[in-house]
Amino acid sequence: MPRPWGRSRACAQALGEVQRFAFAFQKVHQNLAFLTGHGSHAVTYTFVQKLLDEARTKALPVPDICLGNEYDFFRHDLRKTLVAPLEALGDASRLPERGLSLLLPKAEAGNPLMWTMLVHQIGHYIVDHFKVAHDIRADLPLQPGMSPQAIDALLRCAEELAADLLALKLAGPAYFLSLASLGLVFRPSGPDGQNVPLGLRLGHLRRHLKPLEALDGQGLRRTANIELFSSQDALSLAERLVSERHRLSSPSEPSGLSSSEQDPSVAVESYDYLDAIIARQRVAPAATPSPEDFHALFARMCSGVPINSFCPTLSRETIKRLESAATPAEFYHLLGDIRERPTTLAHILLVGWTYKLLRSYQIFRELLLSAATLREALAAYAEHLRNRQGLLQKSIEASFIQQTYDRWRGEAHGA
Amino acid sequence: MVLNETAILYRLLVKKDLVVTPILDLSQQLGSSTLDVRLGTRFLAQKSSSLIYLDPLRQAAQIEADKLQYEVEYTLQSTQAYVLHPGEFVLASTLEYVVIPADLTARLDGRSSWGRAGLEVHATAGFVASGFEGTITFELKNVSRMPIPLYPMLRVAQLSFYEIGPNTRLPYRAKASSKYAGYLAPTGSTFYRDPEWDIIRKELAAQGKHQRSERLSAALEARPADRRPGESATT
Repeated sequence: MPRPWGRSRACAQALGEVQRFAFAFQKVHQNLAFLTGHGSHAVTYTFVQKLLDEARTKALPVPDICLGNEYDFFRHDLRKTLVAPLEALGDASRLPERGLSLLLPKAEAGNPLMWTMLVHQIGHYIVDHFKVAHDIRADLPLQPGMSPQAIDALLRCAEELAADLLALKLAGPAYFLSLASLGLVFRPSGPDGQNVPLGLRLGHLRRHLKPLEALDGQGLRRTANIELFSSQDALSLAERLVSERHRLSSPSEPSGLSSSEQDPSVAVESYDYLDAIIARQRVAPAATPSPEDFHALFARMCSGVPINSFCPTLSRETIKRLESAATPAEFYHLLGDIRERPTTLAHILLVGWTYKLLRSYQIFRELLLSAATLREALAAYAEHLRNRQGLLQKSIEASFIQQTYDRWRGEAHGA
Repeated sequence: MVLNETAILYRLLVKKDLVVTPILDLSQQLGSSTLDVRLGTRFLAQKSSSLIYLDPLRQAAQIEADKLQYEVEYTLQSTQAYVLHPGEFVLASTLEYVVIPADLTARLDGRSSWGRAGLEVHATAGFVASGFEGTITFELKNVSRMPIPLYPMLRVAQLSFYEIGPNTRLPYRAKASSKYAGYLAPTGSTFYRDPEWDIIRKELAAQGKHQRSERLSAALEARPADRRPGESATT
């Protein structure tokens, strides 16, 4: 049987290095408490409420979020997990009929950049409860002679990709970045222990990332880190690295798909029919930033200011009108039209991820080179991470409060 | 000179060197020479502790650990209330992130409506230095006889801005001893980081009196619950 990495021994060695580095980096993060604390349920709930607001759907439930000790973003809805054991105990009545209970690793409770993975589980809820799974079954491209196991694997893969597409639709390009980032470190495991190749998932999502490519064209390709996610060649390499890394970690484990179906270059197109199914769902797509907006927000975050809104600019005409306002009432009436525009989650998360890729790694390198001791460098880096997470949390909270205010401002009157 | 409404607008929206964000509603928040600011979502309350007192003569890292026994943090959602009971004190912060340029200072004051309800927004520190960046910390106290429910977004205070002539060469953030710049949440006092405490420590050590402080610290750590039956406290 040919080894999955059989084409190149050097490739296998490189993958081993990537794997060792990724685990070591994760261990360092955990030991230094980079990933702990400084989060609160309230901000995470604000995150999901903002997400549901922006999706403009009342049908989605606000999820319960449970903090877990395991570092596993790929666990399915906790409610679904609990149904079987509670039914066995004859105590399933304690569970609500509908609802969504998500698991968030405690270590990432304060890191909004990884909360995008919660959106994937919300995508699964939509697949299960909004007839997406039904549509997928109806459109499944079955080949003559497929075994029931192969059909089941194809179905599971399609549902996973559908949840990915929905997460991308709801959270924007940041979802792709978080999935790629997580995929370099962890092997996603489905509820039955079988996996959909991450290379396939990333390859399928990449076709929807034109907004990111537009931003890339504005000069963000200068660093190697962003090239990994934006250059076609480098991205293909990243996808294959992730895919190979998972095969390396468990080469004997069945994946549920034939080898030809595992190859992203072959399989991606065979799931094109999902696009039409997802497009029919009544959830508003995330408003991704224009290149101008993106660069304004990125510069603002680099200067240490939260990215909760776009500051309005007074036109010459408005200044003239304000100066010539004859009465206070006229002045205040003009002020009513001058508004900050709140940013969306897609804005905040994409800028946050770019900040991480372009600034955090650079700061890490500079600290390692300049600090007197490793401990000092790591302490300074932890401070940088806390500040970055704080800025993103503040941005999410402030923009959500502004959206809430804007929703009712026309109807609210002083008593 | 205090800035009037036009000057505040100019600095916020044309020159853009004064940052106050988010401003949810200019027509509500801008006054003749003031800009209303709102409550944020973070509160830092004090709780009872088994510690006898916070010994400022201990090392800063030890004091930080001790402080955790006195403090409890709350983060609210936009429709949750923090109820401030009569006589209670809590730290909170502005919803707005504020950047004061080098040629301005600002002053924080309560709004009349809340003052009449018995809410004080700062104990003594209402001055915001040139070059300050961050959320401004409220020192909230209820001096009335009725509990006051506090929600994020409420306009409890106002800022006024003063020109200080030529730009200061010592903006707050650039000052080496600045302790509260850049924070995004209410920040408890770090008075013990003032250099005067180190001077007192050194002087006490020189006089041999530091042992008293050390004995006190040891007594604080040996709590009754930790002692074996029959063991007496040594102070």
